[in-house]
Order: sequence, then C-alpha cells, then structure tokens
Amino acid sequence: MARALIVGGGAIGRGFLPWSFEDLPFDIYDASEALCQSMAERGGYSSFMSVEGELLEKKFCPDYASSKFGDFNLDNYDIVFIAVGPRNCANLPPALAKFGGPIFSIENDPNTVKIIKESLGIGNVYFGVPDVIASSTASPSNLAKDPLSLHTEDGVLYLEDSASVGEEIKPHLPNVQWVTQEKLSQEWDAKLFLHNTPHCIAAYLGFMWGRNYVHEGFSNSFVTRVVEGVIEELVLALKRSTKHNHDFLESYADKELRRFSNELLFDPISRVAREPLRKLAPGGRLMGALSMCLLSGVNPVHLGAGIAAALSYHDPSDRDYKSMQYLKHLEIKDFLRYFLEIMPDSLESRFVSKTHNDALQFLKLGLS
Amino acid sequence: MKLYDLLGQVISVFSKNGSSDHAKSLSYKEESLRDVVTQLDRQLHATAEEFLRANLPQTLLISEENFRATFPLRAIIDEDSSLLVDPVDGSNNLVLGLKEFGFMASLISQGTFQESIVVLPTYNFFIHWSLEDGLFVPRQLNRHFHDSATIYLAYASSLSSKSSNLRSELLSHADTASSGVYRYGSSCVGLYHCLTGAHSNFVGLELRHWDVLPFFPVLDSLGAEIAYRFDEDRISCIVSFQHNLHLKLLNILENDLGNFHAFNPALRLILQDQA
Repeated sequence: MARALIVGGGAIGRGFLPWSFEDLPFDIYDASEALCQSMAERGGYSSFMSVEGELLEKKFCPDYASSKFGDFNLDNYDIVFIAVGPRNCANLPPALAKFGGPIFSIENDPNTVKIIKESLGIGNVYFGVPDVIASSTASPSNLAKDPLSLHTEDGVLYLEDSASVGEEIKPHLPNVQWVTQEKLSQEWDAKLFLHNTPHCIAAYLGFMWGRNYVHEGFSNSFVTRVVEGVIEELVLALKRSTKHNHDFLESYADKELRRFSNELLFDPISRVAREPLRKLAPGGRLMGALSMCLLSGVNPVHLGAGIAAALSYHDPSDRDYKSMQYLKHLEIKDFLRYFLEIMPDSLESRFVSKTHNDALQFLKLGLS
Repeated sequence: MKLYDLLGQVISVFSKNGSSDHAKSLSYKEESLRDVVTQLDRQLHATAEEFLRANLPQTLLISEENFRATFPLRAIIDEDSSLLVDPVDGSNNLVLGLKEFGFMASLISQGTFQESIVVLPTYNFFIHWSLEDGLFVPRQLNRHFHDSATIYLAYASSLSSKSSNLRSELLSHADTASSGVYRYGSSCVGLYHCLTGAHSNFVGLELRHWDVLPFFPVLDSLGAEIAYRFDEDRISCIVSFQHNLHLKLLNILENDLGNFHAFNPALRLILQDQA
C-alpha cells in the first residue's frame, strides 16, 4: 500500500497537506519531540478547513510521528513532502538522501529545490506550490478542545509532474494539480507576487496596528486600502513583465483580499510576518516585487509602504529580531547592503532609501 | 551593547567616502613606505573620537592615528575603559584599489574584552562580538575548511633581527606544512579569511596591538586556538583552526621568542612584564 512521509509538521505539513490525501497513510517527522509525543498520546490531531464560510473538521492520525529521523524506514514510503520552512532546507537529515522516490519541496521558494538537492547530493527533488493560507494554530475554542488543532483554507496543491512520480501514487492524491514546469512557473509567480507579497504586507501592517491575527488587521480600512493597492500594482507589473494570461492574473488577484481577511483562519501575524529578512531578500516577495514594478514602469507607492512596514517589524520572538535592531543604527542603504547584499546603487536600494521616511509617515498617519 | 552606533557611523563613513579619491590621499608615518595614512584613516579616527565624546566620555581612545611612543601599551590593562581602534587596516590596499582593508575596534576594560567590531566594506560584511551577547554577523558566514588552506603571515615593517630570522624559518616551515604562505597587507582581512577557512593559521610577528587584538574574541568565539605574547609595544601571535599545525608553529615561535599565552576573552591580557 502506498505511504507518504511528511517532513515538517507545521501549518502546511500537518494542517493542509493531509487534506489532499485519500487512502494514503502517512507518518510525520518533526524536530519537535514534544509535538510528536503529543500527537502519539492524543491519537492524532484535528485540522479545520474553511470552506465557503464554514469550518469543516477532520481528525488526522499519522501512523507514526517522531523527532528521530533514524526511526523511519525510508523503504516504506512512496513519496516524501518537505515542509520545514525555507531556512531549514539546508539542514535536513542526511539519511533522507537514501530515499529513491520523489521528494517534493512545498516551501514558498523554488530555490529550496536546489538547496535540498545540493545539501543532500541528490536529484529527485521537485517543486510544489501549496496555494493556501494555513495557520499554525486555531481559534481559542478549537484549541481548548484540541491543543494541536490547526486551521487551513481550502487551497490547491500544485505539484510538478515528473516521470519519477509513480502512477500508483496519483490516485491517492486526488486533489493535487499535477502540472508542467511552465504552468507551475505561472502559478508560482501568481502565488509569490499576488499572494505572498500582499499577505506578508497585511501581516506587517497588522503588527504596526497592534493586532495578533492577520484577519484582524482588515477591520482597519487603511490596511485594506494599502493591501489592495499592492495587489493592483503587482497585477499591472506582472501583466507588463510576463506572458502570463491576463484573465488568470486578474481572477487570481480578485480572490486574494477575501482570502486574507477570512475570519475563520486565525492565522497569527507572527507566522506570516516571520523572518522579514528572508522576505526582503533580493528577488523575493518584497524586493523581487519592487524590482519587477520599477523595471516595468509601475510606481510602487503601496508596495513601498509595505516594505517600510516590513523594515519596522520587531517581534522579540522572531529569528530576525536581533538583525532588525541594527536598523536603528544603520542607514537604510547600509542595512540593505550589509544584511541583504542589495547594493546602494541598485534600483531597489535607491527607491527604498528615498521613500522610506515618507512611507513610514504615511503608515503612521493611516494607522493612527 | 555599547558600540552599535559606532558601527553604524563607521559603515556610513565607508559608504560615503570609501571610494573617493580624497579618501585615498595619503602621507607616510615614521618615514616608512609601508606605513601609509589616508584621509579615510583620519576621518574614521575622528569618528571614533566623536563617538566617545558623545557616548563614553570616560573611555580612553587608543588609535593607530593618535598613538605616540609615550602612550604606554599598558593603558589597555590599566584603564577602566579604553577603545582600541585601527581605523583602516590595509590603508595601502585602499590606495592601490585592492579590496583587502577594514576597520577594527575593541572596547577593553582593564585588559579584558567587552565588545569588538570589525567592518569589511568591500565584502559588505561586519562582525560584532560582545561579552554579553556573543557573536553577531549580518549574514551567514560561509566557512569551508579546505585541505589546501594556506597560512597568513603578517609582520612589522621593521623587524628585530631575531624576528627576521624567525620569519625565514616560518616561511620555510609553512611552505612544506601547508599549501603556502599568503600575505596581502591587511591583518584584518587575513584574520577574516581565517574565519572563512581560506587560511588555516594566522601568524603575526611584532605587530601593533590594534592590528589583531579586536579580532581575538571573535575568533575565540568560533573555536580558534589563539596564543600571543607582547614584547615591549609589539604583539606576536598565532591563530589556528588546525590543531597540529598550531602546535608546530607555536613551537617554532616559542623557541625563538619565549613563552606565549593562550587567549581567553574573560581573562585579562598578559603583558610580558607580568608573565
């Protein structure tokens, strides 16, 4: 019988992914021993999916969950999913290299495929796009019933079709969209720039406004207006700079605001906004979007405000907190240069340096 | 941490002036062609001076640019608070258009290290260490320890005859025990490449203390073996990430110069008259 191994039991790996399975038993490897032990003791966990304004509940019971990778016999699996967070992809258990079947990186970064291939010295790694908002926690009432419960959207999982994916596994993944690399690239651009970019900006604005969950920020009309502005700027930039179908881009953009403000998701700002330096990296969801706008002649006023909000993110529990403290002592262009290798004469650095103070002022006024 | 603002100001000075011709205009110290002083050296010295005046007025500035023979080395041991600064280590490289130069500073209290900063503008990199918080770097340090790693040899412009012979002996040993000797006119960058793994060892002969000391706690925090000795106002040292070669080179150094001391950032530096 086919079987899957999920590496990383977080929002995507535990909360969303198993909804895509049908008669597909799975095990979970997660670095947190407490999580694995708790899943074993409780006989699984509940995931709640938001579908058309209602929450569906499903209890998932991984056959086995462990924080010790040596406990897993890789011969038992037909497919492996990696959902550990982009920064952890270079430090996967080396024994994973012995797995001969397809490994899908469903991180929010296609570079993770290269990173995993290089760090493990293997070639059987493919990209997947989980087009979904999956929370790492749940509503207070659902957490009271099951502290391991999670909320997720009814999303779509796109996986790169490859000859190494056996035909016997596909019937067990009926909701997965198996797509060509070209189609995946279109989905990825849309996901990165029309979803990830405004989503994280919504989180940074929500943080500035003192809220805990992303949906809470949307009760402020200024937040809604800025996020809408970002989406409009990016749709225009994508139309001008890619060959993607315009109807596809517009319909993708249309549903985004509704997704972000979904009150059933309870998506913590601390999850969506985490690691701002990764989000500000060249080519990524913020600086990559900025570069695309500037090169395609779009004036990114709202995106610039979003970047200013990202640069103001200072959550003491965040991995980048210490780095962000240096912004108090460095000029913006020097911060971008030393922390992100964005050189002062680049378009991105010049734009951010020039607009940062005004953007902050705009945000403070708007959020006051 | 007390040196955040100094770090920001130094980075800003490098950004604004580092590549200008004015910054590179030079003079020479002690009539030695190797002791180049640029406008940027003076500017960064002034930055440190101004920083102390505004933030740590009780702290003594000991900089390459204000050092006088009458200014005893032991001030770093005796003073409650001193800031040891090398404004531009590798000034001549700056003038020549080479990328190997950097700024180093350490806040020292009665011979023990409190904080160090190193700025390498052409590498877009800085290092910040403090006794309280340990090591901080803005991006991941890519460290690769190669079998073909080399040894960096730094020495004063005018060596004593004893050290002159020692230099030849070290060169000869290093050529047979490693992939060879490197030197490119900046201890700061040489020590940085000890961190990255390009150099397995760094050997310094009769250097000024500001040439190497600020880097010691940084290297120590990453597990380097460090041994040093002061002779009058000069420091000789060895920094290693390769234990066996460390022992061999240290043996050569100690045979010629006498005992070295193991560096420990929590312990007071030992001057030779205290050994």
